[in-house]
Order: sequence, then structure tokens, then C-alpha cells
Amino acid sequence: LKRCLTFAAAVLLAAAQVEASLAENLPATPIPGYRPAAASDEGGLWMLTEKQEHAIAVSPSRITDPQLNAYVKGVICKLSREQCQTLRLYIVDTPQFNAFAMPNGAIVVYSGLLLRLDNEAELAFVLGHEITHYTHKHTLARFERATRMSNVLAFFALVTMGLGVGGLAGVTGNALAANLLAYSRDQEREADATGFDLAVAAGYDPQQAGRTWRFVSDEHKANPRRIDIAAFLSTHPQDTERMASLDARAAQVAPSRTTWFANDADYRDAMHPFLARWLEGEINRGEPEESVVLLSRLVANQPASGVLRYYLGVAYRKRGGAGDLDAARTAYGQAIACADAPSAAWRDQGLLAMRSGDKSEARVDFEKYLSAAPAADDKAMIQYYLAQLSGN
Amino acid sequence: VRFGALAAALFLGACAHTDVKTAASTTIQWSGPSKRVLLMEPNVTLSELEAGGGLTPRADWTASAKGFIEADIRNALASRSIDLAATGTITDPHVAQLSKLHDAVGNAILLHLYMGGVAKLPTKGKALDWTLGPGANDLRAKYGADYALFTHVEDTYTSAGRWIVMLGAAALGVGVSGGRQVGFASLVDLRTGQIVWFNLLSNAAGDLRTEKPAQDTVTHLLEGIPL
Repeated sequence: LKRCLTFAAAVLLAAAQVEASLAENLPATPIPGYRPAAASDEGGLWMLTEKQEHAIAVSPSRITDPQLNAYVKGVICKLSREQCQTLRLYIVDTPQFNAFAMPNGAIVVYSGLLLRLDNEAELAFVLGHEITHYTHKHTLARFERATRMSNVLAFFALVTMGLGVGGLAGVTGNALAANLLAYSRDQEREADATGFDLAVAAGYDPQQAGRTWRFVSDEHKANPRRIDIAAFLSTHPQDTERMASLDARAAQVAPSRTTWFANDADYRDAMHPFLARWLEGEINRGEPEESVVLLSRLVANQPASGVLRYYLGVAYRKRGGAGDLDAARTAYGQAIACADAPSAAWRDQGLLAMRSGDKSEARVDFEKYLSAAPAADDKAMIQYYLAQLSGN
Repeated sequence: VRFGALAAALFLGACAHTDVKTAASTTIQWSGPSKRVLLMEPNVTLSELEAGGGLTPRADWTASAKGFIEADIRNALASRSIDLAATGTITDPHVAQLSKLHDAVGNAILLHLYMGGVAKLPTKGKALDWTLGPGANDLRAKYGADYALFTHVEDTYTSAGRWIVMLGAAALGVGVSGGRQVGFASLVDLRTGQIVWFNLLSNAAGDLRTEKPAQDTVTHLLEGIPL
């Protein structure tokens, strides 16, 4: 036993030394143009991140449209002021609702996020959140914490093994993993709070901050296949918690100014050229229950948009529940009544008409489709249908 | 028994191990009198292996390793009268796509050909029979090279804390692994996209941080290259 204890003491001493050498130094906000030393933890993290950033920069999925990039970067600059030149924006064409900040100041925004927001204020709260992850060096802090914890755990495992109670290390490991997830959720809360302050300081309407989470949550609730991760296993706080805390903050600061801005029209104009392409991606995501919720909301906001109405029809058709084909047909009809109706609305309306045996309507729709889109890829297919429909 | 475990932990796999595979038709052909090979930006990461098994990437080590790898490959090919072109950091999106394609194919080779077992593809056999497709020809046109050399190395180094854990565990009769160098290199015929040579390297004693051992690593990495 004496030998065991001596050994345990030696190991603990070594662990304490390693722990001291990695003592936590609270990260400082990087000054513009900041670059960590190559030999530091942060330098290593930046190296990996730069590889990732470079891959996104040259990816064919990146949306390089200068106007859209200038618009979103403009919002970043309103919030980050002196950091504006340091931060690099990448907009990626992918239908998921997500944005993230890399530890080296690259900010990535997915088109699926831009599609879901209604105004510039909502975008500002999301970007403020991401800017905070960068300025508060959240990734580095989490990385160092994880390393430190696993180091301590390794020494602890040695000691407990030496004492013949190795099972303790497993329990401790689970506790440390849970602690790390809780830490990650705290960082998210901090990013929400600080990001909120940044956007509010720039004059963005605080009432918009919580809306985003409500809408995302509505979509998720409609999807029977989506499994929610247990709260304590999640890296992010629950949507309901984020909504509630952002709403509470909004109620506090709202009276401090008489005019806030959300810039609805600017936002819509900036996103308008991309809607059809992004909606195509949204439909292809294969979660039609969520797409129906999303598109119903977008159509309610912009009732004159034939593009939105057409894709609402597609989402109904893909969902294919009771009454959905009728709802799809109605949506196509309403899309056709709008000035910007896509030609595919005629085709899809025709296909549904053919399916219900309304041959003459199907013929009219297909002819209108072919005259609106004479070079369509599926021209031969539609002509075949037309021939069949006239056959008897 | 304890001493045995300690010895095993210290010396197990201390030597370099390479596993070379070549395609059935590996006749090297040059389109002109001057021989030129394109070196794709080496995909290299050097990290420190922490006590608890975590990896801390090291930018300083990685930067010097990349420099050594390129210089040593250049020298090795120069001794065979082959001129080396290098992509450096890839900025051309099309070249980046070909590089990603090679990552995917390289991983498939590691999984299906090297690991084998349940991952073995029944119709592929034991031959190195993989290609990037004719799209690789674009690299030939762009860089004027007949072959391209791809390298990928993940190199980890045992930290002081990890040494203590290894020794402590060995004293208790448990083996805990230290840092290790694993990587692969492949040679692609840019006329056809065919991968003509592939080498898997595994080395518990390799070191890419300093000049002389880095040279040894590159020698192992290029073992059996049919140039």
C-alpha cells in the first residue's frame, strides 16, 4: 500500500504541474489584424481553421455574388466596427439553417439561414452572435478546456487504477464530458447576450431577436422524423430558452428608443434574386413537413410572390398527406396568378390535372408551359404527355 | 510482466513500416525529353499528443515540415533528372476539386485495398486499380507535367505529460500509445488519371520537425516510386 500511495502522490504531483503549465488565461478580444504565435495552441487552431476556410473560399458551393456579399458584410460592419476589416464573410449555398464563426475570424453563413429570415434586424442578431464567438475566442477556450480535462482525467485514471478502483475514472470521464457540454451552452448564452447588445447598439429592433428561434422551432415541431437531443447532451441551449431570454432582453431595452429599424424591404430586395435557387435546395433537403411550414410563413409575408407560392405547392405535393395534392393544385393556381410565376407552375399544375383525369385542363397547362419555356429540359416528356392526352 | 509492458510501450513499432502497391501497367512514359512531375500542396498536420490523448495542432512544426517535404522531394526527383513543379497553396477552384477527389479516392484505397477485411471490394481484387478519371488531364495542361505526386501525412509527437502517462500505465501493466507518423503518397498519371503507385507509411519514430529525420521520412514516403 505504501508503494501504491507513493506512486499516486508522484502522479498527482505530475498532474498538478501539467495543470499549472496550462493555467487558464482569459482570452482577450483580438485587436484588428491580430495573429497568434505559430507555436501556441491558438496558432495551431488557426492553422487547421485556415485550411477549412480555404476549402470554403474555393468551393463551388460558395455564393460569390458581389451585391449579396456586400449587403451581408455591411451588416457585419455595422455591428463590429473596428473588427470589420478583420472579419471575412463566406456565404455558402446549402439549405440548412446555420451560421458559424471560425476562431480566426471567418464567418460562414448558409443560404438556408438567409432564406428563413424576414429582415435585416434578424440577420444582425445572428451575426452579432457569431462575431461574439470570434471576439471572445470561444473555440480556443473550449479546446483548451477539453485538453486540460482529458489530461487530468488520464492522471486520475492512473491513480485510481493503481489503487484498484479504475471504474471511478469512467464515471469521472462522463461527468467531465457533461461539464464540457454545459460550458459550450454557456458560451452560446454569452454569444446570444453580447450579440444582442451589439445589434441593439447599432439600432436594430430588439423585438426581432427571438422571432428567428420561434420560426425554426415551429418547423422542427412539424417534422415527425426529427429527434430532439436531450437538453444536457446538446451543445446549444434549447430554442425555447433562447427565445425566452432574447424576448426578455427585448422587453427591457425596447422603451429606450423610439425608433428601431428592421429594414424589411432592403433585406427582401437583397435576397430576391436567389429565392428560386435556394427554394430548390430547400425542397431537395427532403423534409417537406418543414418546407410546408417555412413556405406558408414566407407566402403570408409576401403574398404577391409567385415563386414562393409555386414552391409551397411543390412542398405540399412532396409531403403528400391527406388533402395535400389539392392544396398543391391551389398553390400552383395562385402562383400562376402572380406576375413572377415560374413556368414550372404550369407544368406541375398540368401534371396534377392529368393525375385527376382533367385531360383538357392538363393539355392547356402543358401547352402554356412549353410556350413559356420552349427550351425546357423535359420538353420531350411533356410533348409525349400531350400526344397521349390528345390520343383519345 | 511489468517490465515487458514497459519495453513494449517504449519500443513497439519503433521502426518505419511502408506498404507499396503499384498498378498493373506502370510503364512510365514522358511526353517530351524533359521529365516533369507536379507536387500537389502537401496535406500535412503535425500535432502534439497530450497526456489525455487529445491532439494540439502545431502551426510552427507543420510549416517547417511542409518546407522539408517539398525540398526533400525536389532533391529526390532531381537525382533522377526529374524537374518538380509545385502547386503551392491551391487557389484555382478546379485544381482544388481534383485535390479533393484525390482525397476521396485515396481514402477509398486505404479502406478497401489496405484495410481489406469486410471492407474489401469483391470485384476489385488485390491490384491497385483506381483512377481520378480523365479530368486529371487538366493538371497536365496547366502545369506541363506528366505525373502528379500527392502526399498526406499526419504526424503526432508525445508530450511530456503523455510520457508520464505511458510510463505510469506501463508500470501498471497497461499499454498506452505514443505519438506516431502515418501518411500516404500516390503518383497519378495525368494523361489517364490512373493511380500508378501508392505507398502507406506508418512510423512510431519518424520526425518531420527537423531536417535529417525529415529526409528519412521522405525517403520512406517515396519508397518504390516507379520514377
